[in-house]
Amino acid sequence: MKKWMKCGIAVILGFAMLFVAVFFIDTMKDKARNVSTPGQESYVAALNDGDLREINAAIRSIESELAAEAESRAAAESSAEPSDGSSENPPTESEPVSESEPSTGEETSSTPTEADSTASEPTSGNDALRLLKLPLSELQAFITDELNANSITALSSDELAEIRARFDRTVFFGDSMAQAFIEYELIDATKVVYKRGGTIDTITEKTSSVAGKLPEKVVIFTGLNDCNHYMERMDAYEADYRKMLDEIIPIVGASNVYVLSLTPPSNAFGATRADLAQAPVFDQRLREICQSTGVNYIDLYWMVRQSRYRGDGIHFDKLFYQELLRYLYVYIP
Amino acid sequence: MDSQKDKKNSALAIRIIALVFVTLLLSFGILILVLPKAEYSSLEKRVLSKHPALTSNSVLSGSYMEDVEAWISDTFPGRSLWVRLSSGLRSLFGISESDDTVLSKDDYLIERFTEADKSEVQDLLIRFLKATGISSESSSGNSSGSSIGGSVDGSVGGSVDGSASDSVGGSASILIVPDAVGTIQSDAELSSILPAGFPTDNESDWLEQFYSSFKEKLDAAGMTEKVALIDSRDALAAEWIKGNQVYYRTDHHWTTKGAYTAFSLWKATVLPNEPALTYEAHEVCSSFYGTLSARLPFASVSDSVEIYHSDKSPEVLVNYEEEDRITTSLYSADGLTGGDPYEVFLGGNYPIITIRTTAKTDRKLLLIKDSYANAFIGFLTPYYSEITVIDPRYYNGDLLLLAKQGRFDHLLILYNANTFSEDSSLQTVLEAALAGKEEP
Repeated sequence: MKKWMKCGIAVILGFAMLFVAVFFIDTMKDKARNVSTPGQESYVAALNDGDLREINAAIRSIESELAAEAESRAAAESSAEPSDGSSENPPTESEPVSESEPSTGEETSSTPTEADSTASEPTSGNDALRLLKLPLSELQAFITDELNANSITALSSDELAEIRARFDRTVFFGDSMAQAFIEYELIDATKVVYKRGGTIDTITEKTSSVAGKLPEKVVIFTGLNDCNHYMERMDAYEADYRKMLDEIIPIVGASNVYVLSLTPPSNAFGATRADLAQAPVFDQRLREICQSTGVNYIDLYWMVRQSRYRGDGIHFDKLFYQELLRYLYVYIP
Repeated sequence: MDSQKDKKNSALAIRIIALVFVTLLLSFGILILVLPKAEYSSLEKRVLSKHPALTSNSVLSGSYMEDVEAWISDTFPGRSLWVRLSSGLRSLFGISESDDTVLSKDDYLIERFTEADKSEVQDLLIRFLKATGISSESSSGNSSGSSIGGSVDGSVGGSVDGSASDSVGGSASILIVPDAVGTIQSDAELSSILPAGFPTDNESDWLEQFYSSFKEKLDAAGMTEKVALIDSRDALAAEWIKGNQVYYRTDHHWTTKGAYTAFSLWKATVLPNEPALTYEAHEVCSSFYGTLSARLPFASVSDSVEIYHSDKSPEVLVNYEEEDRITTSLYSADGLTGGDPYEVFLGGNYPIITIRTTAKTDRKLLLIKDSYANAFIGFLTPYYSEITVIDPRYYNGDLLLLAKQGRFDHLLILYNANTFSEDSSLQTVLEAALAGKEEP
């Protein structure tokens, strides 16, 4: 072999050994990098030992204290001011509507023919929150009129902000019926826990996610998947629903759980599906479950209009959800 | 006979060498195609390039070929080893500059700054602040009509029944923090530690220009009294000169001392009447090698990472909203031991985090940030009952609706200059938030 070849091979081997040495040294140094001592790790771990529920309770207690202080300050200021008779009357306290038999969902006046009805311009200026300040019965009448006339007042940005602020500590829980709040960009995704296509038994698997958000209220909104899943198994439906409530109630207390009624399929779709047409029967059982467990049941049958369904005959459009949120804002204290 | 044998050996050697070369070329080619591709480099602490989509536009513009080159470079077999070998050898032979990092005289690895025109972001920020209700003529909203530098202290915030549009009713502050290079460039004494000829833009001048032009725009919009621009260059430089370490030697982040220095300045402007807390430093890592150490491993000197703790700090609930996880501390044990000890602060970066505290106030803060803020947040908790933390690099929600919904008393935008200059996600999020929503 020629000398230049031997030199070349020697150089290549030399560099190869240098590479290996560099790699070895660097690997050894690597093992000592970014390592904390057991004491240091324990210190940080100990910082995470706080009791989640105790801290949450402490926060709520401080919030109540500050709210009470603000109220007494406001009361002291208003009693110190001379009365000029020009102050606005405070809105009357709204009361929940007494439960009534679910309606059939039929329209009560002229039949709208278009899926996309006219949306009126949202209120603006000083009246921006007028609808949210109505007593519940008046708001219900207003919504009924709008649904009948197929002319819905869209939520203004002010109303939406107010509603979202009100439900800041509320979790909406359910299936695609709850998911729609996110789809329509009405409620922030961090406040909604859902399982699309879920039934009560599978939705229950997500109750830990609800608990993890430390809500103050939970609104449960499920659809018609159960009518198919539990067809002719009403007792199993009841047992599973109670099981789900057993996991939700300890999080916020029964009085802070709000169950929205099942809603029927559209007339056209319901005519083709015997299982979904059982919705009123399931809903009746649902109402009984709520009564016996002490959670709140909110009837939505009065809101159902054929024009508000989306093409699938099960889900509702954005305008329906906007009216629903207005109603929930006033209904839920 | 001997010469014939020599000739045979030479020919054989040539064939062997040729075979080795061809084999190596083919092997690497095949390995590039068949080996699974890493998406993240823990050595360089960055996301690696993905294979670009082949479109006619990308081919005609030439971007496809550039992206393929970047992809091959990022996924080359044994990449980490080659990077380490290259950096290590260069260090051994005294070659201190690697890519965009240089070794300074005080053993700091200094990252280069690349300036970018952020005038569009300034305009978007002003539009965003106006849309959230911050203006000199806004009504009281949450806090009692307080303005920056005025009597913010002690005011009980909380929602006032009234215009829901004044949801960020109080004020805002913008804190763009200089990186190590910017602080060095801002001070004549410090600037001598930067090697001459290091190809970096002047971050200090860029910050000066940014703040100056932003102030003009705020003046024109009548928002100067409500929006504070906080320049921390002098404060950080002063601490550095005193011998206090305000940046990590091998990481692009500031130290907890650096964060505290900037916080003190911010607090003096935004919450001047609130009492200051006394903190104790606790070392949680003594051998910290940060993101820059991979570029010059043999030049790297280790640092320590500290947590500042006060007995008067409130308790916290930290809700990682999109991860469905709540913790009771701002500091993450998993983050500390996960390979990048800086992630002890909040466990890293997340799209949206809500922090609720037991501080006796109902003041609320909206913080839009990059990773620099992670070490800063601990100082904010005594003064706010709720802090919502948004990282635009990961956040896909509606920032304007969030700002209005949250009824915040103050909005803080906190970035380091390099990320603010290079990253476009803040612009994207602001544009999306404002699309079709501003009132005429």
